Amino acid sequence: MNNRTWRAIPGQALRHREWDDEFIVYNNLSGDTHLLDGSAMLLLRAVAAAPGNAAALAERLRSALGLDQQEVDEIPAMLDQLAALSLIEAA
Amino acid sequence: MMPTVASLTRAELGARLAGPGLRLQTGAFVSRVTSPIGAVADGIALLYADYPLRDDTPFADFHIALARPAGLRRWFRPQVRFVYDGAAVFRPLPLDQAFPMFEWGLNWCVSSRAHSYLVIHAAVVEKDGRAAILPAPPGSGKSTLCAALVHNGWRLLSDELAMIRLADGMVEPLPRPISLKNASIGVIRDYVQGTVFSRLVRDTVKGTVAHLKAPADSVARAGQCAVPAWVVFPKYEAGAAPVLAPLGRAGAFMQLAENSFNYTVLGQSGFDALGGIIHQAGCYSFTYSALDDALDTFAQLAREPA
Repeated sequence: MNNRTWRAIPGQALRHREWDDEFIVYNNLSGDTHLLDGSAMLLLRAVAAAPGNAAALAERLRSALGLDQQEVDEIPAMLDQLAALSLIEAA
Repeated sequence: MMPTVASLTRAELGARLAGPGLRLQTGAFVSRVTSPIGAVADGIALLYADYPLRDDTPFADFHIALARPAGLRRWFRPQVRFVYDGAAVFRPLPLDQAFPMFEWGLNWCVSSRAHSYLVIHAAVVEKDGRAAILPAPPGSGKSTLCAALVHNGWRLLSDELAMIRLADGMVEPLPRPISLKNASIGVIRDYVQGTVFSRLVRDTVKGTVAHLKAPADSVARAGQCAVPAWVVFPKYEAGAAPVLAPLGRAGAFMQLAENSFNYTVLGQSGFDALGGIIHQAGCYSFTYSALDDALDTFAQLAREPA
C-alpha cells in the first residue's frame, strides 16, 4: 500500500489563498474548503507537479527543500490525509 | 423623494396589508407584504416608518404573506403562517408571534435567495466608509453590541445579515430592526436613551424577543456601501475585561465561512469573495462584558489609519 502512486485528481482546479504560511484551499470538484499548513501545501503541490509514490515524493522534497528525516517520515501519513480530503488520489 | 411607510395612516397601512399588499423597500430588496393581522401592521407602522414605499414598481424580490391558517384551530389556538410565493415555508407559530415571524421570515428570504451576495450571519456597523463585520452564534451578544454601537456613532448596516457583493466585495447595507432577546432588551433600554421597541413577545423559540427600531439615519443611507475593514468575532462573558486579540487570517476565513449562509452554494465565487474580505480586513476576537469598554475598543479601531 505504501508504494501507491499519488496524483492530482483529473479535472481538479484548486484555488488557494495564503496568509502567514497557512493556506486555504478550495477544491472545485468537491466544493470543499480546507485549511492546510505549509508542509501539507508543499506536498500537495509536489503531487500536482508530477505523480509519484511516497518515496519518490519524499526524495523530490528532500532535495528541493532539505527536509530532515522526521519530516520525510511524516509524508506517507500526510498523503493519506490529503487523499482523505479528496485533494489527491491513488493512480 | 420616495414616499415612506410614515406617509400612510395606520388605517391605510392596515388596508394596504390586508388588500393589495405593501411594497416595502429594505436595503436593495423590495418585498410585497400582505397580512390581515393587526400585530404585523402595528410592528411595521412602528419600526418601518422611515422605509420607502415602492408603489412605483410592479416588481418585488419577495412575495410574503403572514396568514391565519384556516379551520377550527384558528379559534381555540390561533396561529400564523409565513407564506413565501404562495407556499407556507415554516411550521405555524402562535399568532402572538406574527411580527417576529415577519422579521425572521424576511431574513430567511434574503439569506436563502440573494445569491448575488455572499451572505454572512453577522451584524455590520460602519464608520467613515469602513465596515466592521461581527459574525457570531446566538448568545454571543452580537445584537446587543450592535445596538449599542449604532446609537454611539456607528451606522447600522445590518444586525443579522452581512451582504457582501460578489461583483466588487463591498458590504451593502440592509438596515432593519435589531432583534434583541431576554436580558438584552432591558440592557439596551437602560443603555440607550429614546429607543423604540416593538411589543415584547414571550415564549418564542428564542425566549422573550423585541425588535429595536433602526436609526433613521442608517435607513436613509441604505444606498451607501462600505469597505470591509474589520472582522471581529465578539463574545460576551460576564465580568470579563475587554480583550481584542488578533486572529490568524486562515482561521478567520474558516470561521467566517462557517457563519455564511451560502458560501457552499456560491462555490468558487464565494471563496474569492471571502478571501477578499479576509485579505483586506483586520481579523480579531473580542471578549467583553461592559458595553462602555466595547465602545472604547471600537473607537480605537476606528482611529486606525485606513
